[in-house]
Amino acid sequence: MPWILIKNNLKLMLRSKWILFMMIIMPLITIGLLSNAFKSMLTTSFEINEFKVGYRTNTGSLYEPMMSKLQDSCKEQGILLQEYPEGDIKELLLNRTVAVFVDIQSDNFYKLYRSDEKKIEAAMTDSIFSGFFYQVNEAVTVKTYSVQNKINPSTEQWESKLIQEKLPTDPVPSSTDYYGIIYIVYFAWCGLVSLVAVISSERKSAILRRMRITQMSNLNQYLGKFIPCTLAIFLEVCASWILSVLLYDIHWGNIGISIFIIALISMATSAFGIILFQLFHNVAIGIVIGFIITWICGYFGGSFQSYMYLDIPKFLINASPIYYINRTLVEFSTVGHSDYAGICIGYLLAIIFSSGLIGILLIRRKMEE
Amino acid sequence: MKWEDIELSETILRLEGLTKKYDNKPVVDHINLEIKKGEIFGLLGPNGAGKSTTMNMVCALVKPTAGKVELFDYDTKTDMKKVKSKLGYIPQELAIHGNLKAWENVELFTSLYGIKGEQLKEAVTESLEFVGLEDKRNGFAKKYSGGMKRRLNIACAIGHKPELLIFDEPTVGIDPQSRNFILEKIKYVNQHGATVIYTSHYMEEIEAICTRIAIMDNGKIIAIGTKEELVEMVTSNKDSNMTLEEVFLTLTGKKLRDYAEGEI
Repeated sequence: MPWILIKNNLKLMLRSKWILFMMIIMPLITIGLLSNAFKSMLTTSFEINEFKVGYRTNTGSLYEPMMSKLQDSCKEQGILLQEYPEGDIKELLLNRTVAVFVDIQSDNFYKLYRSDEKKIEAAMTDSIFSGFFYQVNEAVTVKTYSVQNKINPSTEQWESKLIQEKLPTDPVPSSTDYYGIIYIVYFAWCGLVSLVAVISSERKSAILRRMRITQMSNLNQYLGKFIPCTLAIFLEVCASWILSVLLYDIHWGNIGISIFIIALISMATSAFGIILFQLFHNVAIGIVIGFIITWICGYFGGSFQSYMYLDIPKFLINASPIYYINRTLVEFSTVGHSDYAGICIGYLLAIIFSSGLIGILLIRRKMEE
Repeated sequence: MKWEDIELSETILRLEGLTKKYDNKPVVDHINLEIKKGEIFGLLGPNGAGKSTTMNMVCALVKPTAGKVELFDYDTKTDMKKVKSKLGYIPQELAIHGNLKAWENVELFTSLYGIKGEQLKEAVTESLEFVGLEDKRNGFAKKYSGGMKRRLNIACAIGHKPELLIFDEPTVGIDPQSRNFILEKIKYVNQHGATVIYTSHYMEEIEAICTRIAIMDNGKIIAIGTKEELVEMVTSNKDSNMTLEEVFLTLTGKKLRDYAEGEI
């Protein structure tokens, strides 16, 4: 094992300031910006706090005697129903004494007041009052019919029975958790730039020629790039990961498996990067091609728009390794386990071994040339 | 192995009909040459004469179109691995990492010859002392002056104590003090047993250190011998005070040798 070569190539990678900036600071900036920009996108359920509804009825209104029962019913739903016989309705809304106000002006007409920001509370109130009015009117109709036809109405009380069943749906991550995880993964794939520190230094001088007359084998030359690049990416990603957790309070799920997956990504990126830089002699072209491929995989894998809402053919999503990684790590964060972990690890191992083999063959071909 | 331990007099390098063609155009044309142990052999020639291509073929960096290179009695085509540890190559371009410290550069390239542990540490210190950079071992190569970089370039090639050192224009673009220092050191390693092949444009350097000189032009060796023998080839007067430069210009002519990149 060429330990000295590995050690010195690792030093070259970790001494490059712009690579460190890109791998450690850029993810933090991106996570901060995107998690704030798309905060509302991932908020699919709303927490409604207890709110107050004011009401007013005319004296002798059909509904007046029933209001105390409605108050009890509403209280169970977290809605405080309170009568305001007098006072300016507009003022009650403006000074936020009530969220919604219902003015029952006659037996078949009521008016609902609300502000722009209380649309949901108003919709709930409207629904409750509509049901209430319907039930009261139906009871009155039945009573009138019974009296007219001299029928004794049943004394049996009809009670509606509602059974609520809570289904075990997957929780949605917060935008900070989602983008906090996704961009650590995305920038780990961009880590192929770490190789530039070694490749460009080798190519701008006659280092490769000097190496070719040493006793180093092709495999050692490959390992001399693969191992330090993997270590550099892993260390940089871990630094960014820790900082992002401290700064944004990002919740990762199973830390052990997450670290294992990040280590596999570092290996896959290194192996893939070595192929690119062997194929393209110009380092800049290698970087651009690498970033384009990463961007496309990220686009299909939910790095920009959440994979939960992607409107892309399923086969394209399935073709992206980033999709399985994102999904696995996000599910670890939200539900603590993921059915995609196996595919994710398998996909990464396949990339590592296939790219590794191609990389060694390309290095061998280059040396023979 | 130490340089002092190397026995002299046997043939260290033999070129037989060595030819290299690019696009069917010969760049090196049927060269036959023998270099003995202990020599400082100078290779002179105008731009595009084929010196660097010849050296690249000796180091197995370029495959010959025809002919044979024998290093230490091994055919480099089949047995290059066996002689790599005996060969030290100082390329014309710098072959050092700017973002590594001087000692890290020497350690890296010396380790690639399988030297490790304490032996490696000693080799690094020795090499840096040899080129006068031991006191600046912790400096980054990119911050070094041109002369220091050239000396570091040499240190990276000598850590494994090669028996044959190939210097491909090692003094290009450096100050006279560094040039003089390098030439003195080349003489020193030669006195201690290493064979040296030295290519340069600077006639006075070749004249000062080389025991035998070959002049190449258009891919062929047109003259070979000691300086005195070369003088004799161009003038009947044995006691002539002709300089090597005058001999060179007489043999190769005064016509400008312009060539475009890729032609060589």
